[in-house]
Order: sequence, then structure tokens, then C-alpha cells
Amino acid sequence: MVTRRDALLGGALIAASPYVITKAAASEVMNTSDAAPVDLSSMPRRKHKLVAPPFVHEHEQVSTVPPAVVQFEMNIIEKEVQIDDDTYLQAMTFNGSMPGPLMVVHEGDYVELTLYNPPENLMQHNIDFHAATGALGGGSLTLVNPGEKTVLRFKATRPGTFVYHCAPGGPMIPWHVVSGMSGAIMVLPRDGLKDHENKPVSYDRAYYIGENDFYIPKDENGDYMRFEDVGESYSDTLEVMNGLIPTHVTFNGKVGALTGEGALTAKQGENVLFVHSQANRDSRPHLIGGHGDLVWETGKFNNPPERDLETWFIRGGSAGAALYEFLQPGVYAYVNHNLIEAVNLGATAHVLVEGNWNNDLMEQVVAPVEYDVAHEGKTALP
Amino acid sequence: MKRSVSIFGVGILAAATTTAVYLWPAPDALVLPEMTVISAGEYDYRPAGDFRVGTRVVDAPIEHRTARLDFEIMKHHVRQSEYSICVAQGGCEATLTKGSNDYPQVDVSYIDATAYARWLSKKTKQTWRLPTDEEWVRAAGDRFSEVILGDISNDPDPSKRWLLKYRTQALERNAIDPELRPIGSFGANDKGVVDINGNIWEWTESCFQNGKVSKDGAFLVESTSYCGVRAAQGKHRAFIIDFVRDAKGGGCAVGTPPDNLGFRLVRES
Repeated sequence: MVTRRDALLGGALIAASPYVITKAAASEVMNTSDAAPVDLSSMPRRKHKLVAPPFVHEHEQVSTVPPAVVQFEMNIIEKEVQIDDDTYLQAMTFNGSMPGPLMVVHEGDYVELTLYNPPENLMQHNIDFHAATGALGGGSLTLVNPGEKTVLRFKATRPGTFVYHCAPGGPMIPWHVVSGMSGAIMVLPRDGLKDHENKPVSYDRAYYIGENDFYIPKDENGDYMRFEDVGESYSDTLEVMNGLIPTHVTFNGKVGALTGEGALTAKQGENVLFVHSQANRDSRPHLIGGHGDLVWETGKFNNPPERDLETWFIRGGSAGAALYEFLQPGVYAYVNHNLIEAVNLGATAHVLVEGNWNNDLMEQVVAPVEYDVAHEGKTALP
Repeated sequence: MKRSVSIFGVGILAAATTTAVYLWPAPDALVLPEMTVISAGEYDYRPAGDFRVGTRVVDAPIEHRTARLDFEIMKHHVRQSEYSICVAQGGCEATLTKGSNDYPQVDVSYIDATAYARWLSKKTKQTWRLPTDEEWVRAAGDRFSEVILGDISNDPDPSKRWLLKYRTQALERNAIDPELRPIGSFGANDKGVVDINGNIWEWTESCFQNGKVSKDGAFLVESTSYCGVRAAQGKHRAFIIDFVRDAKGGGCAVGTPPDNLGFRLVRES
């Protein structure tokens, strides 16, 4: 059988396929070649290799060097991904992971991204950086067909955590995003993070939690459908998407990806920075058994952080950051505190914290034991 | 309607202690399940629940026990086709099923499983029930495994015991894909019981117990049963609320959940 992928790779159907050329895309495409040139030839340049979430590439927290052009590369990968024990998604990804990798630069740096759309892909893609200014966040300068690459440079002028996502025009925009194409960039202040009193703070480790909402259609037997390729999945998926009720809400692209053997780790006394992004839908991270010591709920570091939060709100289309010192060892659950989404739809991660239990913070005074119903428990009620 | 045995393989059939196949008269087309006899004899058993020395959580002591009688347990899990007949005849609540004769029925609660046992007892005029946790352990034979605290229970730090238990369960769960597989996929154990301790956790009759252990950890001093929660047996013993059909999401925020909930029954003689 000839799949749509085979046919498209043959080239014959490219112009005819509604899945490849989108109506909205053409009018949004622009270029900057006639604008006044800018000379960055004296700027230092350096490269970062991106790593898959929840991990973050090595970076300085306080910059010891002047602003530079920071180069990154990303491959767009379309592939089928298992998102739950019984569920597969024809995913579209930045660099093969959901979410895409977290990029880290400092305020005043220039981000220079080379974006590859490999020839085996079916779709046009681009990238819209919420951290960037103009040209739809870079989206209208970066639309690449399969087999094409593009290079975008933008100046990181605002410190904070920001979403990036694919936005190739019209109905392709939400579909590409809920097929996995989002990630985040963290633009640190050059002198690092500051607390509510403007005193420097740092983290011992950083994790990037990318939350995805997925909309997987079911067949007549109630089983999640699998598709030959990403194009084939479009119309059934669109129907579920337009109902606005996700079938899965995941951290790191799969139910349980950050639990069990994939659980995050930390040590008692460590400051851990959690960057949380949601490109499409509101979320409300909560660390069960812990807190957010300093939380940049909107993710923007020019605003003082809030303190001692129990739950923080991540607006759809934004990324926030929370800093927490783990005071007590044990297992923590980091969840979306819509608990239906956390427990039934997948939005749960675990953090395993090594250390020494502190009975001053918490102690089981009486272990669960049967009580004398005739004489005890009478004083509790008013 | 007579079940093909070829999928189980010759070796597995040979390993069965005894099997008994009866045809239920038409039109019900109910074929009585094959049974395996678990012999009387000596075995070790660790009671099911949470146990403490003082306030410290410890493993229940292993007790050496002797069973005077054999008992019969279903060789295979209750099949989707079998459960579907019960649903069609009004004895069982409908649940997710394709009615397949080749696949075990999962997505069943303790309440569903016991309803099936009542229905089957009525149909056959025999007494069917879930095994007790102890009977299940005997039937699991060489496949039996349990997650214990072990020496770590001597560690005074509760977080270290907790983390160890979490890691052990995570490892053991990741060893097997939770996707439902046809009856017979996991083969038989040394007793001839098929698919036991694969990726289906089986409901047992046994209630959750909260117990006190002697200071030396050697014997159970007392225990209290809480029967809204039953033991489901598999790679580790899970305690699950009796009306839950799918525990994959976990009963709490940080446990390691069972993959699938199914069952097999004991026939009383």
C-alpha cells in the first residue's frame, strides 16, 4: 500500500495535498533582506548543544562574559510516539522530544537558531518565540518545507521563561502545538536570579517540565486510534480538539514519563528550579509535600518573585519558574493540581529526595490504630 | 465453543496437576473452566497489610503453615467471553470488554469479581469464590514475588525505607509491558497455573489488615481487618478499594499502581 508519506516523498502530490500547503501560511511569510543591515561581526559567538527535557543544557547562572551570539540547532522530527500504555500519537516535535528542549541564554544575548525540517517529514513547520520581538515571534521568517533549513536570530531583550512553538498558519497552528511542537527558552538576567529583596539566589539543579495536552480520537470499539502518518490523523484529531477536552495531559510527553525510573531526583537542602511550560492550556503546578519558595508565576524575572506558594498558575501560552529548597527527604509528587488531570489524565511527576528525615518538621505521633469508639473522638465536633 | 488448547502449548498442559473440563448444556454455551489442584502441604506465608513494631513499619513475620486440604483454582484468568455471558444474563455489571475468548477480562472491581462468582455458583450449583491472599500465594508457586522492606526496615529514617520501596516497585513494574496479552502468554508456573503474576493483578478475598508485631519481629500480636480495601496480588501486593476497576492511575499520588485488575476463582469442594 502506498502511504501518504510515500506519495509525498515522491513529490507528485505535494502541491495538491491540503496537509502540506496551508492557505494561511503564504500571506504570513516575509523576509528581512531589504532592511538596514546590523553588524554583529565583532560579537563573540558560542554554541550550545541542546539536551532532552526534563534536563537542561549546561549554563552559567550569573554570566561572566559579555553578551554573545548563542547558537543552537534543532531538527524537527515527525514520528509516532507512545504517549500512554495504550495510546500512540503521530507527533511533531522540536528535536525529537515533547516538549522541545529548554534553551538558556542571558539577557542581551542574541539567540541564533538553525532549524532543520528533514526531507522525510510531511509538513511545513516554523517557530514562534514568545521571547522574540516582531515577525510573529520569528514565525513568519522561519517557515520551512521538508528538506529546507532556516536560520533565525533574535535579541533576548526580556529576562524570563518563555514558550516557543510551531505556528505554521491557520488551523495548522493549534494542531502542531497539540501534536507536541512546543518548548521553552529561559533568558536569565546577566547577574542571575534575585529574590523578593533583590538578593541573588541560585539553584543547584534545574528541571524543565513541559506539559502537553493531547486529543487522541477513539475508534468504534473505544480504543485509541493509530494512524499511518501525521496527515492521516488530522481530521479525527481536529474533532476531539474542538471539544476542548484533552484525552491526555502529560509531563515530558508521556503518561508516567517522570515517574518510576524516570522520576526526578534531588538531595535534601538543594535548591531546585522547576521551569514549567504549557503552550496551549492553563495549568496549576503544585508540589505535594513541598512549596514554591520563590515563584515567578508569569516567568518574567524583572518582576519580584512571589513567596511560599502552595500552587501557582501557568497561563496557557506561557512558562513560569519556581525555586524550592527540599527540606525533607522522601517522595514528592509534582502535579497539575487539577487532580483529574494529574491522576487520571497523566499530569504527574515524582521527585525522589535523599536525606535525613526531620521529625521537627513532621512526625507521626500516633500510627494508625483502632480507637475506642465509645470514649474517644467525642470532643472533635462542636 | 469448546476451547482450543493449542495456544497453551503441550508443555504447559503436561505441567497441570489435573484438569477438568465439563460442558455446560446448551443454550448457555458456558464451558466450565479448567481447574488446577493446589496440593495440601507446608508453605511459608507473610500476612497481608501494614504491620508495625511499636510505631515502626516492618514486614509481617513469615509464618510457616500447613494446609491439610487441597484446593482447586482456575487454571486461567476468567475470560472476556465468560464474563460477557454473565453480563448478558444480568449477573454481572457491564465493563470494558470485547467478549474475546482469547483474552482475560480486566477492568473489573472486587465487586464485579464477586458478582461473577455468585453468578457462576448459581449457574453451576457449585461454590465459587475468590481465593484468599494466602491461597493465591500457594497457587503462585514459583512465580510468587513480593516487595518487602527487608533489612531497610531497621533503618531509623522513614524516608530511606520509602525511597527504597518506591525504587524497587518501579524497577519491577518496568520489567513488563502493561498491555493486555492473550490468555497463556505468560505460560504456566510449577503448579500448572497459567499467567499468574504476569501483568494482571488478581483480586483476592483478603481484607487489608493493620497489625502489631512482637518486638523481636517474630510473630503477629494482633491485627484489625478493614474490608473496604482488598488485596490484589501480582508483582507486588496492592491494596485497592473494592469498587475500583482500573488502578493504573494509582490509589495515591506516589504509589506504583497495578497494571490491570482481573481475577480467577477457587471452587470449593
